[in-house]
Amino acid sequence: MSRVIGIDLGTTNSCVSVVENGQSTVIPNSGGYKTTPSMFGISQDGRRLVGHLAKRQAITNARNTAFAAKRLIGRRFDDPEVQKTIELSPYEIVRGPNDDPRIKIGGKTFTCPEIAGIVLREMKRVAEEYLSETVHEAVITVPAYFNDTQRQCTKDAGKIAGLEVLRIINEPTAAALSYGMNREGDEKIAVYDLGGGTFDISILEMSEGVIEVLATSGNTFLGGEDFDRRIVQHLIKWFEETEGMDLRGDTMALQRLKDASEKAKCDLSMRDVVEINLPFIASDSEGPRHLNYELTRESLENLVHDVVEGTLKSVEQCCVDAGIQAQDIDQVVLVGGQTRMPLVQKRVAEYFGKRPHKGVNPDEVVGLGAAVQAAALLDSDNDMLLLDVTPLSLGIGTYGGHFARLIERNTTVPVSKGHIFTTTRDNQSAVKIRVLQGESDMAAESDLLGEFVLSGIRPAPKGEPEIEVSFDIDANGIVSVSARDLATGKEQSITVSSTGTLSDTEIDEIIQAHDIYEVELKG
Amino acid sequence: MAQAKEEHVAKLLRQGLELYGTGEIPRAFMLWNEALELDPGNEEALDYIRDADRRSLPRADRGDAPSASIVWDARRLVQGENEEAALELLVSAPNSVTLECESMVELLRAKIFRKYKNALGDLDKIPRVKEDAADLEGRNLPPSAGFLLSMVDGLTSLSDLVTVSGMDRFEALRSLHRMSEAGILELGT
Ligand SMILES: Nc1ncnc2c1ncn2[C@@H]1O[C@H](COP(=O)(O)OP(=O)(O)OP(=O)(O)O)[C@@H](O)[C@H]1O
Ligand SMILES: [Mg+2]
Repeated sequence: MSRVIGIDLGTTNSCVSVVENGQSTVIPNSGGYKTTPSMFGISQDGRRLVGHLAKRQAITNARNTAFAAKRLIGRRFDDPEVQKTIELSPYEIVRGPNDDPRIKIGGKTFTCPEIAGIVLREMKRVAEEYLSETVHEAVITVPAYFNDTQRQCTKDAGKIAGLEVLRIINEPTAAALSYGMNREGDEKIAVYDLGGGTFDISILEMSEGVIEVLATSGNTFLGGEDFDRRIVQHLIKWFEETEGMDLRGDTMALQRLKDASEKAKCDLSMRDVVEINLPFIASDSEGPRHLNYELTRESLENLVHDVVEGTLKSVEQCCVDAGIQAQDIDQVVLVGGQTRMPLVQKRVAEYFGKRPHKGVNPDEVVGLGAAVQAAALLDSDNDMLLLDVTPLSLGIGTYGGHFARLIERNTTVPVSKGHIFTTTRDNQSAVKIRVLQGESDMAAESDLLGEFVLSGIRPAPKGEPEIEVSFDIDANGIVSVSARDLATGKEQSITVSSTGTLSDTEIDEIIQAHDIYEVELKG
Repeated sequence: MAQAKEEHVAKLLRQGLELYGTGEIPRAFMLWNEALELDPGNEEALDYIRDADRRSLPRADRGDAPSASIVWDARRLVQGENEEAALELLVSAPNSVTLECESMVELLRAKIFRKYKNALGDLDKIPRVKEDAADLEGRNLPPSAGFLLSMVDGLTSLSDLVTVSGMDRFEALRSLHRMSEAGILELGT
């Protein structure tokens, strides 16, 4: 039996793990890196670059390097999140035929599942190289707030990568799993996840192996990269003051500044002071100029203090949403590479009044948890370690623009529920079922997941026909909906995946196209 | 002149004419220049070049004196096997926009590029910064060399460096070649 891998498909970095001899381990790539940048680019000479190589050209060839596709995946083009990403991204984002955002680089347009698929394929390759066997199945993690479409698109990305996605699980749930939190008693857990580009805070309640997301909050535009940016700005200003030269317009210099700043930041999690040396950063008639700067942990903390405090505001909001006080939290879990920073650990500990759980490598815990879940799926006695819940309420749109909730948020999955609806006009022969997700009572404020028509209803006065609508959510959180006319037995159904996502034919076409353009799969 | 060479020159001249006829003028110039290199002073080649340049160039500065003498100097440098200096001369000259200049620049770049490649050997080789290149900052390197150096990590091959740098391939390879000549980089596998 071949193995199932666990993949943390991050906004900034991805990480793949597998359970070996009962132990969940992160798989390093051939360069020894345990995480791989979730980036895909096309170089000036037309080569396709994934991971670290793509990151290297992220500034010098910014227009042709796609990153943070996770902010876009499964969303509509008009979604405010997409619009904000467009504003901030150096690469082009265009409206696709399904009203989905697509990424245009190297003169070619890619769907978001395709970009995610390229990254997943790289993770699959890293795993195969390490295991010396082919891998076909995976468990992939997504943020707790991802709706059905976003989950479905992530599954599509897996398919594009040649992986069957056995389960989609929530990132905070995976983190809790990797800390072995599934067997303990009733507890409330706060998962503080500060990654490269996003900050998520989730409050979970665990009881008898069922994990419920009480609340999530955060900021999808805040992460470790903001820390890097603060250092870059600081260095540019300093260089301008001491050398009288402005590096802002020089992409080569900016690429070096960004790389060096991130490295200095990471080193300062272990040390009190680091040297930043950038020889030949600029030159003028007098010859080459070097940037040599000593950065202390203390000055870094001053540079980013407000960013860290900003995350705590979200934590506070999350506690309010969950209806609890900070001191009610039993366990605090740190996730995401940026939580290695001592200041972050200190402030989180102070906030909750207790020491957080932290693994050595917080950027690996989500992937590790995914592998734990993957291994559990292979073990028939232990099919499910933790039960997830629906992140958002589900229902259908009804007369007058209302949203009739059929499944409340935080219902444990898998679940199925039905309800009888009727017609609103005499002799109405068809009904349109609009499947919605969200917490508002108004249909217009909810996410439309899909719609279909049930026709052939026997002519009758309004209010008489009985139409049973049932919802089914499988363990991945994937929704299917059916409607049945009880009088005729006629039935219509959909698996909610049609809006903004790709059809099976489109996926097949992408898979074929990628077989032709075998991606550059290096370091 | 050896017969084989003579035949080769004749072939180059003929092929150049064919290209010229189909409108591929810069490539025609390249071949004629190649012929001139094999047989310096070849009247036929010089004639083609002079003629074609006059006819195909609607620019104001065609055939002006500085440009012509620069080409002459450049050609002398090439004969002295100093192609890099010739290239430098051509690209730094003002008004050096005659087709003849352009084609000579192209030809030289192609030749020098090949030279760098041969000198560096296999482009899958992995460059490392030499241990004893410690007083690096005392050298006079341009920022682009500093940029390339910052990506030398002992894992990335020469060809990957060229790709990822996003620099012009010629410039990138020249810079890497110079740094290896200067003992800053060593190449391994
Ligand atoms: N030792 C360290 N000290 C400080 N920051 C670090 C350290 N190691 C990594 N980081 C930072 O962590 C961030 C990446 O974190 P991670 O890999 O968890 O991101 P991610 O999960 O892809 O991001 P996201 O949560 O946005 O999806 C980067 O900004 C990186 O610089
Ligand atoms: Mg993450």
